[in-house]
Amino acid sequence: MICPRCDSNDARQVFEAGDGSWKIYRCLRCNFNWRSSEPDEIRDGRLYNPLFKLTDKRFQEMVAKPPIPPLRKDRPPTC
Amino acid sequence: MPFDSLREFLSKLEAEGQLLRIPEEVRPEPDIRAAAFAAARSPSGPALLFENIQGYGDGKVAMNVHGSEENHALLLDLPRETRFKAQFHELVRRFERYPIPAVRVSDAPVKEVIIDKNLNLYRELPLFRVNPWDGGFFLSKACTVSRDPENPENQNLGMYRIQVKDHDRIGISTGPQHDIAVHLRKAEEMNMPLRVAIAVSNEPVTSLVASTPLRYHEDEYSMIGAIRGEPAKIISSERGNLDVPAGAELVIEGEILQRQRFVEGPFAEFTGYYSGCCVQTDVQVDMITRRRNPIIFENLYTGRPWTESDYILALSTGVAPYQQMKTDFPEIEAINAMYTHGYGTIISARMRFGGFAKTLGMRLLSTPHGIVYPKFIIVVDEDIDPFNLQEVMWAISVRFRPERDLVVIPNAPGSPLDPTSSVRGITTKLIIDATKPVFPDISLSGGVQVDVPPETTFWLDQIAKRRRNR
Repeated sequence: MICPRCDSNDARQVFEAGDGSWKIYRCLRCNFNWRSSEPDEIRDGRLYNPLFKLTDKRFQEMVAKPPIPPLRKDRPPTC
Repeated sequence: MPFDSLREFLSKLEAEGQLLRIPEEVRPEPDIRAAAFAAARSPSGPALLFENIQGYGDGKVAMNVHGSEENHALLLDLPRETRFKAQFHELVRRFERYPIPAVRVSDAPVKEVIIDKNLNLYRELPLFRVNPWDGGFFLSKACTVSRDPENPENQNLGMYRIQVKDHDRIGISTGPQHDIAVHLRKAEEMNMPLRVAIAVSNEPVTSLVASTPLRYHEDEYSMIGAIRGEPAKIISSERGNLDVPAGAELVIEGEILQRQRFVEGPFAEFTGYYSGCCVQTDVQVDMITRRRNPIIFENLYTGRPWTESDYILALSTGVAPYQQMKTDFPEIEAINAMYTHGYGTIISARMRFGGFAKTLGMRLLSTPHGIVYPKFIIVVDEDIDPFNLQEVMWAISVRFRPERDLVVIPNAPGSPLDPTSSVRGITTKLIIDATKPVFPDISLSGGVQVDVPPETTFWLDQIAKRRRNR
């Protein structure tokens, strides 16, 4: 399944309502979650708001928050 | 009597006409967000309890629980008509009772159901997208508990946005100013996971304190006790060594995966703007404890102010800097830091000498919360109620001299979420001195100020009584 936000082919269904009224999907690449009952502009990658689309460039530019600190030298890593 | 659970508080709100039940079926999106936004904008905005959410069976959602002056008064166990200024001074008085340590209980409804396998957050909570371009379904009002890995006596309870990413996987967003970021940094330096417990749907003072900027060494549970006037009730987590609020509806336990970051966000923040999309920490969930169904999932609508977020971040945001500054400057009367978590802050004080308002503005910028958040600071005299914008605007209109009373501090530390920052975390600060100049400054030349008629209080009371009796 195609992710409407990052257009990767790594999305899959993760849940279905008890009464079958909707399903929830998750993208394994960008962690986007959406529901089948949401409007077209959320579910359809061609209609998804371009300001929030995730392109390869945007993935590369994402900063780590918080930054990963250096390991302490006085304590050996546990793994 | 203080409340021991969200349910108790919802009953109180209902008795006071401050809870509206929505029995009709609503869609998770967009109905819940739209109704919550409308509730906070309504006069005396009520809490909403959605009882029938499409696809979620008997799961319920509570919104806008803190979202009005009246609800805020009631959670402090004050009469519903208590105004913000009086609530502020009552909160200050209660902060001074700190610490009242928590009491540990051995059993609580949050332990009625214990799930340690086949975890599924999509099944456990009636999740919904808070704003359309959020990256997923967020828990925006949950309270996260963690401990300092080096000094375990230091435990923190804080409100951080949490993104549900999979059945048993959540993202947690922590800023460098948050206490949990200190715990996380130490754990990551030692290459250890950081254990967390996330309490969902809590009694209202717990949420209030979790979003209050206390000092690092201060214990949130002891502050909850101080504000309640009796100890908070805590219960031990199933794993690790964490104290969780005993009144919670549901607790998620797990560990932050050290030295890894994963795509998180965006999320519509309290600024009224979406945050960016970053790589942040994930929690691997390994335990859920909860009440028996039906669960009430309490969440927070954040977005374009004025929202519930502006009420929960309102008075308590001003109390901590007030106490910190009052020690040095007893002239301070009150601080109103209600505007976008204190981006806009109003200080009222008696003026010791000319230029003193500038001293107070700059002192605010050196308090723990003030280092980052305040962007524009207005200082008014003690005769101005800083919670009454009509009075504040009048003070600026007639007492502020732009050529003498405007202070601009460029390139100062700022909130990373401020959409005006050209460098994330750097901002320009502004102090507006709207006080009457006093010696040795030049006094205002424009005549004599008109007094408030001294009989006004009597007549305010008369008018209120006569209108009630009509």
